[in-house]
Amino acid sequence: MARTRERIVRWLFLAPAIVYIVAFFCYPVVYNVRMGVTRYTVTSFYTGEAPFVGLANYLSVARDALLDTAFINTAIFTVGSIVPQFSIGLALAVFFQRHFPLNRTLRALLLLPWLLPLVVAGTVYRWILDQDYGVVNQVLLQLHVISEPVPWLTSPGWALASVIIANIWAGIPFNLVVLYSGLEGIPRTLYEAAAVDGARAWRQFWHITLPLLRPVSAIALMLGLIYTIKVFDIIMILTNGGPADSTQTLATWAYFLSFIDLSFGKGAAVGNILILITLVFAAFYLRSARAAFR
Amino acid sequence: MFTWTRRSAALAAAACLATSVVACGGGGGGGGDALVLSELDPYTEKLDGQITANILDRCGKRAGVTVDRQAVPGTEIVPQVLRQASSRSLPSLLLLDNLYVQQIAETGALTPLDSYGFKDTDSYYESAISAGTYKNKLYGLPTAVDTLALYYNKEMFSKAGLSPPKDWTELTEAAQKLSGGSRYGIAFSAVANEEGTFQFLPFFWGAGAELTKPNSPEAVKAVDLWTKLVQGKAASRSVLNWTQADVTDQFIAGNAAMMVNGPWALAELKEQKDVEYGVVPIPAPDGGKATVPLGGEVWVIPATDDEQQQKAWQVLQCMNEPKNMLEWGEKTAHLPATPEVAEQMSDPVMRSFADALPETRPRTDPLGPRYPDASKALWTALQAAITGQATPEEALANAQ
Repeated sequence: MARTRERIVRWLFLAPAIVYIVAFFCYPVVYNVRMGVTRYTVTSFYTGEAPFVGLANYLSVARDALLDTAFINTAIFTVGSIVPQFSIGLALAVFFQRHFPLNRTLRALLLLPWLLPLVVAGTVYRWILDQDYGVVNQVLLQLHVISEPVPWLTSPGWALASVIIANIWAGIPFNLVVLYSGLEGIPRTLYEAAAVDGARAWRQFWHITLPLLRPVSAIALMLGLIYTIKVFDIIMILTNGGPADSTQTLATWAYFLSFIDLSFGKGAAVGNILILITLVFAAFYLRSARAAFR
Repeated sequence: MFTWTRRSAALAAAACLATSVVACGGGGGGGGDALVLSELDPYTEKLDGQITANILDRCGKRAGVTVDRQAVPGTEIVPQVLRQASSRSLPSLLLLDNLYVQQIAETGALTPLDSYGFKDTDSYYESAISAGTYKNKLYGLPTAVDTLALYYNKEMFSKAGLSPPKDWTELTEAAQKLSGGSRYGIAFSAVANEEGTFQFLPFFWGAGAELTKPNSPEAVKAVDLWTKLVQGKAASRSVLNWTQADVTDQFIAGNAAMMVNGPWALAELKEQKDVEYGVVPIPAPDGGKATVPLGGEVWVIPATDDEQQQKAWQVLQCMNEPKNMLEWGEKTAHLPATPEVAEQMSDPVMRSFADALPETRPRTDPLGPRYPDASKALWTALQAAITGQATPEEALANAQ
């Protein structure tokens, strides 16, 4: 009897979390998966009727020339954002390990981009990168680095790079914080021993810092990947997916299909592809997190 | 077995608790003595919102209802309406971009206005009525409409010894001549959404092109005009990203000598005392006025219940009384939807906009609910051509 009671209590503690996950996580995902196999139009919202069409949405999405663009852009955007974010974040984390005046103040300042809503950051970047009046072009022109203003946001060749630059800036603080706390966990004595053995800073970094930071790095990279692959706001504000679809990623394309074209079935199909990709990386994340906390 | 039932009972109890909380949170609103009439419109801006709210309040009082007004940005209104449609919680009165009326009417969520005994279609601009009509039934009625014209900076024009352009050759020449330094000759919006197509239609239709045949030589000619303006540096490449509000800002800042824009820009322009501007119709290629698209929102009455619908109709009738129509139009810089009221406007610039209204054409003519697809194809082609990814011919061939 006592055991039963204990079990009930245990379940009661779990219940709120289960209800929350089912209502706000499972239900939308299941709904989205179902939407992906129906022809869900404007009318479906009112009548509640959406004819089952099997894989037709996926097929028409696959035939769309934009799928390749969106896939390639998503890949470039994700890798192009994460690698510099991580490297710069790591460099800064190592740097802030040293003791110097204003260390804490500077570290706090570097966290600011994280606190700034992406909508605000995006708008500011739109001004900075403006072709005619933006500060970046003005400075580069004055320094004679360029002879013509660079069309950062208005040329298909530059737009993706510009969006990536803004996103790198926004993602550095996250990497800095995670990696900094990882560095704090490495015993000082190892460095002292290495120093006694005659290892210089660079060797210490390669042979102590990097290997011991691996579990934390894996977490930072995996979370970064999951966050970056679905980035939406910064792209929408800076380029609206353009010009000429040159910054369209899976996330923005799903939005355009659903809310501009009002083809909710196709939008859901693209959304589901995105969910699937994220799930794969989430599995990797869980594995590396388990390794880190063991 | 015993444990299992107890366990699932506890789970069920917890689930019920959670759902009842949600149910409580979802309800609410309403209450009070007078009937509450919910209303939704896209006037989120403070000034416009206040004016709309005032007139709605007045009209609500007269109909014996309290109007519960809500505003969401124009781009959010369709998703919002769709959510409300699926949960059967549509507002009783809804102000919707005329572009979406036919799509929403197709779902059966709207009531035809003749069911309230409305027959007075003749006093409205013809295109305003046809924009609100789906399958020969009128679903939407505007209080105000708008359209596009060419604004020009009087000072820059007189300094260069130019007069406002009357055909495309003059337009291109003036734009070229007035460009230089940090200034461009003309500003417009070629952004990758409906705004871009809306701004382009005067040129597209002006050249004689039709949305049913987007790759005609006339269409190529129109795309070519915009492409050459940008590539000849008479317009900034940033037109690819500019919304119409950005275009207004550029014009006010003196960064553009001309702009394509609607009457709503006047609200902002009037606050700038040092910008002297004039407004002329957008020219057709060989002179004369181009056909311009009809913009603006229309009131629709969603199917709720009979009492709500009747009251909503009373409020709508009151909104469209000449006095209220004029007040709303003048204060928010939109054009009254009947010629009779439009003529009473005190601002001569507003009246010159109103002069163009008989030539307007609804965007949904002739494609109806299929217009959004054509519009998307058009703005996509425009972006491809202006960025130089494709020639105007190639870009439009893909728009088929």
